[in-house]
This record gives sequence, C-alpha cells and structure tokens, in this order.
Amino acid sequence: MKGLDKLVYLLTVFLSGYVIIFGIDSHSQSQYAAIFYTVAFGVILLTSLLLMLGGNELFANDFLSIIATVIPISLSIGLTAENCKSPLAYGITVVFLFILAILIKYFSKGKLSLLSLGVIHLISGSIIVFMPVFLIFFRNLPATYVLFSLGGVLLGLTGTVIALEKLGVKTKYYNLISKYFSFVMLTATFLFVLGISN
Amino acid sequence: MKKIKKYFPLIKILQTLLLLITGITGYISAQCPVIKPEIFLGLIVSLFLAISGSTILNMWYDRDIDAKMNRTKKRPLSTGEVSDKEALVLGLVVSALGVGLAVIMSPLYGAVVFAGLFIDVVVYTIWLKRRTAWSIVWGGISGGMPILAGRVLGTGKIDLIGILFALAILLWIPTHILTFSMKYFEDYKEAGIPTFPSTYGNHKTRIIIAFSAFFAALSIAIISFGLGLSWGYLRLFSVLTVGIIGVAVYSVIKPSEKMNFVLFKFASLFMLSSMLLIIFGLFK
Repeated sequence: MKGLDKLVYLLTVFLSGYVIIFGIDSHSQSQYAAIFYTVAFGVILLTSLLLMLGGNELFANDFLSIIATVIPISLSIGLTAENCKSPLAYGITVVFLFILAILIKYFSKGKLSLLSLGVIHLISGSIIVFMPVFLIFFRNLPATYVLFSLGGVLLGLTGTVIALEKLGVKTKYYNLISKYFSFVMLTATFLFVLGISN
Repeated sequence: MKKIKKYFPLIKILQTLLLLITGITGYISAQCPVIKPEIFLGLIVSLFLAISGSTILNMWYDRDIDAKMNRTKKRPLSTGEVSDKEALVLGLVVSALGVGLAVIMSPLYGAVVFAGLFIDVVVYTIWLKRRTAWSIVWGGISGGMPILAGRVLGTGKIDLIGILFALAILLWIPTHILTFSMKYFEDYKEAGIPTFPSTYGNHKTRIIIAFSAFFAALSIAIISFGLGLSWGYLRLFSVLTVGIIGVAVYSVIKPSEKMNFVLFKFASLFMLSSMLLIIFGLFK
C-alpha cells in the first residue's frame, strides 16, 4: 500500500475520532442516536485503521465485510432515532435481519451467501440516502443535511461495485475503486460529518 | 553529528518515545494546578535519558544474540560499527545522567526511575531473558515504571492510580511482545531465547494475547473513568478497546501471520492513542 493511501486512511481515523469525541454530543439530543452514531463512526475509524495496517487485501476478509455492514445499519438507526416517533421498530427489524443475514452467510454457499448482507445494505442505505432529503423537504431541516445522503450514495455505489466483483460480475470501475478506496472512505466520512454538523 | 548518527540506532527511538509519552501521561494525570515548565522539561529529559540508557545497556548485553537474529544482525553492535566499550560507557553515562537528574528533581521520582532501569537491565535482560519465557512479566513491570514515575513526580507519592497505570502497561506488554515473538519465532529460536510460542505453542500464546488486550483495556478504562475524562474521550476509548479486543479474539479464531502483524501494530497504536487521549482529555 502506498504511503499516500496510509496517510488518507489516517486522516479518516482522525476525522472519525474527532467526531466521536466532539461532534456527536453537539449534534444530537437523542441518547440512542448518539450511541449509534458512535458505533457508525467507530466502525469507520476501525475499518480505516485496519486497512491502513493490513492493506486493501483485507477487502477479501469475510469478517470485515460483516463489520462494514454495521456502518449503514448504525447510521440509519441513528437517523431514525433522531427523526422518527417510533424508531424502535426499525431498529429491532434491521438488527434482526442483520443477524439473519450473518447466519445465511455462514450456513449457505455461493451467491446466496454473498447476497445476504446486500439486502441489509439496501435497506439501511435507502434510509441514509432518502431520509435526509425527505427531512429537508417536509420537516424544513437545513439543506446541508443532503451531504449525509451524498456520503451514503458514495459508499453505497462503492460497496455495490465491490460486491459485484465478489459475485463474479466484472465492472470497469473495480480497479479504480480499489486504487482510490482510501479517498472514497475519507470523502464519505467527511460528507457524513458535514451532514451531521448542521 | 556523525557520532550522534552512529549511536542513534542504539536507543530504539520509537520504543523510547512511546515510553516517554507514557511518562508524560502519568505526570499529566496528576492534574497539577500549575505545570512548571522546568519540571516538565526535567521529566522529559530525565526519562528520555534513563530509558535510552537502559536500551543501550540492553543492546550492549544482547549483542551476541543480536548477531544471530536476522532482524537484529544489522544493529551497530552486531556489525561492529559501535564497539562494545563505546556502547557500555555510553549506556552507563546516559543512564547515570537520567537517574541523577531524576533524583535531584525528587528522591521518590528518582527511585522509581532507577527501579525501572534496574528491573529492565538487570532483572529482565541479564538475569531472566535467556532463562525463561516468563521474563516478559519483568519486562512489563519495567515498562510500567515510566508512567508510574511521571505520576509520582506530579503527585509526590505512589498512589492507586499510579499503580493501576503501571498494571495497565504490564497487562498490555504480552499483546505487544508476544505478537512480536510469534512474528520472529525463527529468529528467537536461532538465538536460543525462550519465548511463549516456543514454550507453550502459538494457540495458547494467542489466547494469552487476547486476555492481555482485554485486561489492559479494562485497566485503562477504569483509570480514565476515575480521572474524570469526558464522555467524548471515553467513547473514543471504547471504540479503540473494542477494536483491539476484536482483532485479538479474531486472531485466536482465525490465526494468520497477517492478522498477527496487524495486531502487533494495533497494540502499539492502542497504547499510544490511550495515552494521548488521557493527555488531551485532562490537559487544561
């Protein structure tokens, strides 16, 4: 791994760390949202740290792909905890589906194993992308909240390309994403942070 | 300048700086109402000299086994770039300066600094390292002395928090040293140094590493909470704790050289980050 990639991952670590220390309390009044945002940025921090130490070869690690799923789950639960009247229903449902997906992943073979986590990403990713837009238009939240959605779009597209590669569907974007993944992580994290800091 | 360049590799600068940072953390943790620049500078200089001195003396004593190991055969003493006599004199002078300054600053502080040096060089390196894999316990005790010393300088006494700090370092040491000895298993075998992997096997060693990570993190958590760190800092510390325990446990379940290397690096970053979190969390 190049030195520049390591530096970019390190910046992502610092940015996530900063948000965990200072950003979450100043943004959210909801205790549950604070917990889940901490989990999300914590996983971003640890993922960046592990990739910095272990290199992009860790992409192939199944356990890391499970851990990475925690990011959209936690961000989406945080969003619903802040902005929905009954966030518990969504939270319980998505966690249950996550556990189910992990069981399917380990006890099945082939494409079903690979697709199981994809469903979770789709559900939680949709919340991350569309809820801020909904809140801007119907609840008059600041327009900068859309940056949260953009972060979700960026990570979502990246994750989709990586997942397709694992399914055996070659795309011309995989090499590009592998090469610049550190920048994708940093940019997405930055967008989440800007979106949350409104 | 040429001589500094020649002697510089003898002090293992990264290790020395990490230990120095632990010492600074111990001092900051005392939360003195006023941090006098001369005391702070004295802390840094005395600890740096004492730690460097003990490192040089260790390298002097271990020059024979260093010559046998691939990892260390290019060290200045192994290659002859620095003579045995030069290294011994340098080690003794630097150690004496460090301990001497520490004693002048405070007799109790000086005693703790001397204890760290003595345990590291005499007990760990000279007496036990070539005899038993359990020598790392004493290595860990000596590693905990800088942080205890810093705390002693700040508080004027050996207190529970200081002891917990030293214990945290002792508990962390297996995560650091055992991953290292697994990575360089063949080197240590070649040199005839007993290690946990060679004595108890890799699986048991990995389990010890996982427990070590857990208890070290628990100790630092108790200290951080006891010192009154804000929730933001405690949250970040929790994240790092989950990370290191997770990687350590994963290494037990799915061992690999890659994950062992990641854990080794992570352990050092974990200790450094914990110390910096305490420093920044308390420094006013």
